[in-house]
Amino acid sequence: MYPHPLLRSILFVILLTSLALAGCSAPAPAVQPQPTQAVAPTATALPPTPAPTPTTAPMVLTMALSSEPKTLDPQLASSSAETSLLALFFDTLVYRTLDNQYSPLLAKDWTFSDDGLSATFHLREGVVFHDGTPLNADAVVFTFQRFTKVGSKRSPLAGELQNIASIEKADDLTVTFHFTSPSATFLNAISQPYAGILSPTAVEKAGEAFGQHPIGTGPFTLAEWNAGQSLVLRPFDKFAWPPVDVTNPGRPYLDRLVLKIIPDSTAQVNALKAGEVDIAYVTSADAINELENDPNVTLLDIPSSGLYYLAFNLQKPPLDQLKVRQALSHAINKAEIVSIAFQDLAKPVFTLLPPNVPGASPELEAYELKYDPEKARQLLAEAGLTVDADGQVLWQGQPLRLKLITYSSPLNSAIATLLESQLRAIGVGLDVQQMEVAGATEAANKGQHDLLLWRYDWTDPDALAMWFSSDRIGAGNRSFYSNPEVDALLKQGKMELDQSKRIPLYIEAQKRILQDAVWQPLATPLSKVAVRASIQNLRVVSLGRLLFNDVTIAGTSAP
Amino acid sequence: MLSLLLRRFLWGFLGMLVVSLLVLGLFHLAPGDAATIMAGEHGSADDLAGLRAQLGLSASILQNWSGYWTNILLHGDFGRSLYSRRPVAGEILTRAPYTVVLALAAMTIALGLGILAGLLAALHQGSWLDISLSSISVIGIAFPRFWLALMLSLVFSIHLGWLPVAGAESPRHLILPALCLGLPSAASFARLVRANALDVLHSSFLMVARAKGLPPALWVTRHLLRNCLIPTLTMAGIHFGHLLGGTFIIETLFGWPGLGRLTVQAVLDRDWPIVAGAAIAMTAVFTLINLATDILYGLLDPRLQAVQNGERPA
Repeated sequence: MYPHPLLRSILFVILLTSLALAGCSAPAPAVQPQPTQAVAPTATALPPTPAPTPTTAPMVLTMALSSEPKTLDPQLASSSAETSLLALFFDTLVYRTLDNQYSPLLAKDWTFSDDGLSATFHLREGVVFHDGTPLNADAVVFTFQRFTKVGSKRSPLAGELQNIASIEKADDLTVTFHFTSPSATFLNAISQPYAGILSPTAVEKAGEAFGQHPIGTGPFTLAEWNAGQSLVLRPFDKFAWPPVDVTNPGRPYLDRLVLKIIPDSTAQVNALKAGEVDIAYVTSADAINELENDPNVTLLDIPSSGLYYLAFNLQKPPLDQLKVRQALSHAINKAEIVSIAFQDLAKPVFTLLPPNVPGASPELEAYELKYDPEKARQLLAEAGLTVDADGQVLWQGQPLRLKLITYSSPLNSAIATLLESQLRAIGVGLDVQQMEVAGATEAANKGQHDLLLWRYDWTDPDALAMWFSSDRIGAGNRSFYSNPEVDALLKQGKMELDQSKRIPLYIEAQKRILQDAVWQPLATPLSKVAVRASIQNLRVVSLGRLLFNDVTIAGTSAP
Repeated sequence: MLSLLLRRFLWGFLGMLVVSLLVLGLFHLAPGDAATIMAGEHGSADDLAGLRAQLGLSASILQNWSGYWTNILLHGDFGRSLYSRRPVAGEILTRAPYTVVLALAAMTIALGLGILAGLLAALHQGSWLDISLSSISVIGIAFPRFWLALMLSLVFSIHLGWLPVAGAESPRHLILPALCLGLPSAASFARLVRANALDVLHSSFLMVARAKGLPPALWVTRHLLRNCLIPTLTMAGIHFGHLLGGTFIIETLFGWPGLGRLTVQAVLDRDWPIVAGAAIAMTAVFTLINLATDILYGLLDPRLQAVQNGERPA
């Protein structure tokens, strides 16, 4: 007689718990990726053999991570925790430098056809993936065809790569992309870590588990993934195709790069001071003040690519009136927000693009709605809103109260508190609603907010199309803003391949949007990365990414 | 005994059914889901609907719940994480041992320190030792754990450099989180043991034991301690739940790779299969602990053993 299913499941649960308890004495072993042929003998799980020169300590660098990556599949990754790691394992066709130039990486050169409808890339010879598969046109075609199946719905690049009509292998090392419309954003898109080239053999072998076994052509291979604790990376011995920003032509000098997961930011700072980690990103002013005086720690600036903004929901009266939006914008004191909420770890902005992005032009300052509470009150009166005896602004006979939605973070809560007091000063009430990212995103997409406090990071001026073009209403366009002129400018910008003609289009679009007072841009955050003083030659590049290729550690000898 | 086991497991299973239903219900009620997060601000409304269908998020609570349990009962399959696509059972089996080790270590600290301090205080009632132990334990109960965590790591990791700040690479990494989790409970146990010990100290059987000249080592361990242990054990069972709950904060503060941290992150990510799996695992652990408590009762108290064996109490 077979046991009843119910009984079987009970037995299974007993087994499960007893396994869990049995595991107490010896926590489960680390997840080991399957051995690959490209992995050097040092990376295999052999017992440690005595080093040839016993005086040389291995160069091990430990970096703190705030959260564990959920996947290292570039096409499925979307959180910033994942993005910053992808480039360690995967290379892209082109590399974007800090001053927004494109330089060769896996592609040694490329040409766009005159009509902008196709682009041909010549691949570098002699590149291999971690598993030994050679990089060729097939791998590139495979990667982008997989993207349309796997990443098309969730990758931040989904919109950017939508206009690829077909990808064609011209010869073994030449690939041609055909577009449905000229694509000025294509190089930016394929320079992002999400567009890393994948090993076709590894993808087929790993299937759904590819995100745990990232096999690319990048400078590091994943040796161990200890769930919840750390990722251990080893240099890829055959690596010889670094980006222009590094000097080391070959594999990274480090023997190991350990990414240690420490969710609490105070614990990260403590671990850095105690020497348990060598590198940690720091964003709080308290932490920076504390580390500034520590002789063992150096702080490096991270070039800013983020923007905090306040968006108005144009669907919600009285915010449908331009004068009301202008009035609220004039009520905002950005200097106060920067000095109190950001503790001066930010700069006020007047552009709709982060300062390092082309198109964030100084001429837009003329369009800024500067802090001027008197003018704010006057504009409200002009819009027909009256003020009661207590100084409260009335809308349809009721005191005006607006709902601000934001995702919860200590910084957002500090900014929101200031916004509340600044708007109260002109008689407007603000109800701040902070939610987790999931809840806040949904509420914002549905337009449940009057005001939205949010942040974005992007490196191409096409970001404006995500937030302001009318076909993005209900998704990125949370202001429910629709202006045919802006739509036309943004569409033109997407297709204009000549940068000298393209950037003015985005400056023009920003002028219109600023005139319509759709957003009040607030500040660009300045964050830092704290590094133990013994760590040399760490490079900080676009989007705060770190390049470890040149890194050596003082006190250990370089190979 | 066997019927007790069976009864307990049936109740445990029922608990799992209810707990998983609650988890699913809460996820349906909570604003936003995994598709919202994945699509982010970059995805369009169509992408969102497509993702939702792809992830199976468009079903109703009951459909979800019955599908979930059908898979568990028929295939032993607890589903996969919506993000990493790793099997939930594997994920939980890697993480749960860490949480159980942490909670057991904390419980050992709590019981060890608590009983010792409680007995000492009771035996020296009214002395400076009693007063200082009692006041320390009042303060200990009042301390929030996150504050304790900060202070302990400031003193032992930064200033003294004795213990690591975060991670789980060696047994030394267990000390601070276990202390942090266990000390507040130790304080509660100390108060409880002291009160009970005072009761027992004034009871007639203990007076007889002392009057007939039993050496202190014997009457303290055999009569005083054993009688104090029964209420302490009841409390320990309850506290184990608190400790498991406490691991959610402590694991985040100390980077301990346990179930609590996994669950907190999964809740934020709206990764319901992980949360449901973790809730079921916690229910299982809880059921086992309750069972262990009941069995220990019997060992400590012969009267209960008789009841458990089906004999009528005399």
